[in-house]
Amino acid sequence: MKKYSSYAGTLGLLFIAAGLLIQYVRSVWQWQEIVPLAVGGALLVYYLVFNFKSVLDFISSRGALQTANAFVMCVLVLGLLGFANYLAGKHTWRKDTTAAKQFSLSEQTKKVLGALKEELRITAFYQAQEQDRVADQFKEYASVTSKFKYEFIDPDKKPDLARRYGVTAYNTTVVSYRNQDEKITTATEADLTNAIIKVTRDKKKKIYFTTNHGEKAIDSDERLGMSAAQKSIKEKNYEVGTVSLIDTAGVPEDCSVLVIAGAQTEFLPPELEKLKKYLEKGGAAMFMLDAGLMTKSPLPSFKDILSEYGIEPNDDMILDFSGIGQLFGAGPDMPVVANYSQHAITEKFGNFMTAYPSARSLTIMGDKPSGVTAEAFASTSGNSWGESNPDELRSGRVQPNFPPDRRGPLALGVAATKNATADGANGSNNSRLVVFGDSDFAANYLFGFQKNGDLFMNAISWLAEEEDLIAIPPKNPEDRRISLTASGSKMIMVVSLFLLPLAAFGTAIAVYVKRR
Amino acid sequence: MRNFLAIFERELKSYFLSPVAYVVLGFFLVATGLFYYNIINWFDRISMQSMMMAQQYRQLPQPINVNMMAIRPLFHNIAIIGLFLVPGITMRLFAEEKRQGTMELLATSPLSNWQITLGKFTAALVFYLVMLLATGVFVGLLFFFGNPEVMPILTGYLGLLLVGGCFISLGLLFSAFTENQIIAFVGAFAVNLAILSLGWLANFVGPNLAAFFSSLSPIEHFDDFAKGIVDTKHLVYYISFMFGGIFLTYVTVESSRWRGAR
Repeated sequence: MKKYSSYAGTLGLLFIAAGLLIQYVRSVWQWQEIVPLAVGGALLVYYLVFNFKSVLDFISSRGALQTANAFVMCVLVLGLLGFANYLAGKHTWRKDTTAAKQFSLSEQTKKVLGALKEELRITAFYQAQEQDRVADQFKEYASVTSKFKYEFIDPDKKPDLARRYGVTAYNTTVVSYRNQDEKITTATEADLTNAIIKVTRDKKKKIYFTTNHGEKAIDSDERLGMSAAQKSIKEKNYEVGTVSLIDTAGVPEDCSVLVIAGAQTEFLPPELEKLKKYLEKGGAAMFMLDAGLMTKSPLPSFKDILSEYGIEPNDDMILDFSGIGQLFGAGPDMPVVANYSQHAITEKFGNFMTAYPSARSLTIMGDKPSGVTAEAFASTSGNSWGESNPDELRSGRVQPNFPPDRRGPLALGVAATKNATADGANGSNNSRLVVFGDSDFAANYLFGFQKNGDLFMNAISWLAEEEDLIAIPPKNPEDRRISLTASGSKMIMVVSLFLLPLAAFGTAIAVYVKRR
Repeated sequence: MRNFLAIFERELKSYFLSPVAYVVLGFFLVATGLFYYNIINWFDRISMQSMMMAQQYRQLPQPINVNMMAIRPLFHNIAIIGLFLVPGITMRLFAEEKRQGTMELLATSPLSNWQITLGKFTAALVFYLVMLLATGVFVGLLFFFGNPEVMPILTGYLGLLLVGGCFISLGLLFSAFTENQIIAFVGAFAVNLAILSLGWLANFVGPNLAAFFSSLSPIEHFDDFAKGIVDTKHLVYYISFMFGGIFLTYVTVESSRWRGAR
């Protein structure tokens, strides 16, 4: 019996380990777990019974004491090393030695990260092979603060998570802070830092829509309502409100952007006063002016305000004979824009289309008042003109007569800035305006058409954000190539595949021979 | 100090006088040379394609950087190859002495166990440095065909030396465990691989655990060096890893005195 008892100890420990492992995997206590543990226990007891004396001897021996000592010392030293690493992780000194400083974050970004109070969570939806490209960037952010946590998710492998975050495109990054999400589709430092600024903002910015003049209603689900636009605005972490300038003392203090979405009747002089005052103080507003020829509402009262920004709304209606609109079953009275200038609003648009039914054209004045910039960001094609004769429009037999009709390309969307007298609600020192020659493009029935919704939202963001957003120039690695000639390529092959390894093996043989 | 130098010299000599070390060096160069040749050919093709694209579309060519696209991945490959081959240079350090019975001579000599452990470690590190310097020929060749940045190359080699130091300290420990060189090799190799896989494991757990797991893996700490970044937290990690390995080796050697093992 005693002969086998020395194996019983080892075997018993193995059985116990196996029992614990099975329990860990299955997380229940059933015979599959209990039997190995019981057998293991029995074997151990069997071992102890026959080897009791030698076990006792070992425990009371000097060797056991020294082993215990050594064990405690190892635990202490390893614990100290772990602690040193913990401290080193808290206070790091980091130096980027690349010539282009391509891994260094800007001071603004570091400031934004330093101000984080809670954990900022980045969920990046990238396919596996794309992840490395942006991981470098995220690592730099994470090295600044431990509150920056990032995680990659392959949307192809975890479509449920992508759906939960409402992610539909590859390379989308969701920035979450407290309960706010912000999505970006490029992970440049500028975009990422600006997204962090937006989600960490204490107070949400508020977008007001004017009422009482037949404007499009933001709550309406009708074809010409703007509930889709309202939903998009709220998704971008803004609040939405309405304001009637007749009732109130003026534009509310917390107004970041005032939108006049297709007014049908004239604003009264006191309202215009309040509007002017708001803009003079550095406010931001969006004017959406429909073509008024047919409805007899050319709204001359806005012309004064707009002229201060160097913009003149024309009393005409754009007719587009480029044929693009017909691809979507639209007539010439729905001009389609496929060319955008280099403006922040249309920066990433490429050749996507936006459509504007019954729109009027805008002219940028040649002699703008001082301190004013105005730029058309969306214009129609050359195959369009601005028809200014209501009779022709009514009869349906239109002819371009230049002048008074205006030749295309015609501006449909203009962005303007003007120096303000005082610091405005947004803390900026200039007031900003976006003028569209149309309001229907942002109505429910067209909001989802091509890039109409994006254009509207970009214009809102530009008006609301301009002064907060920081510009960080992208840092690319320096262009350093190698140019291999045919002989150079051969040289690399000879050295790397033959010369060096053979030299090592040759030395090995020489040493071997010499030692023999 | 003199004692340390004595054992260091003895070990270094035995490296350069034994054919085994050169065979390890040879295999190391075969593996790194293959990766180098492939990466450079790929990079050359990419440069060419980007140039052609730029001409076709009349755009400025995208910046293409040999340090980031060729040398950085090469360094990663060298680090991984080191993981496979470093146990080959550490396996004999203690195991051989035990097998030949010279361990008793060392134990009764005036050398302290610290001096023995450190001397062996440093000798292995120097031999590993020689292996790295041989790959310097590959990187140096690139300066004939372009102008790579020097600083990221230097930080990359510093990182490689530190990663190798970690592998050596583990290899030393396993060599002290046994008198069988093959067991020393396989043990060190398996543990190296296990620690490396901690970094891979980080891809499958949540962001909090991921940071912890990847902070344990020597390869994860290496990436910043390969990029051209020096960060004190990585330096502290490597130095404490090596110290931990050397300390455990020391305890193992010391314990053989009272355990009565050879």
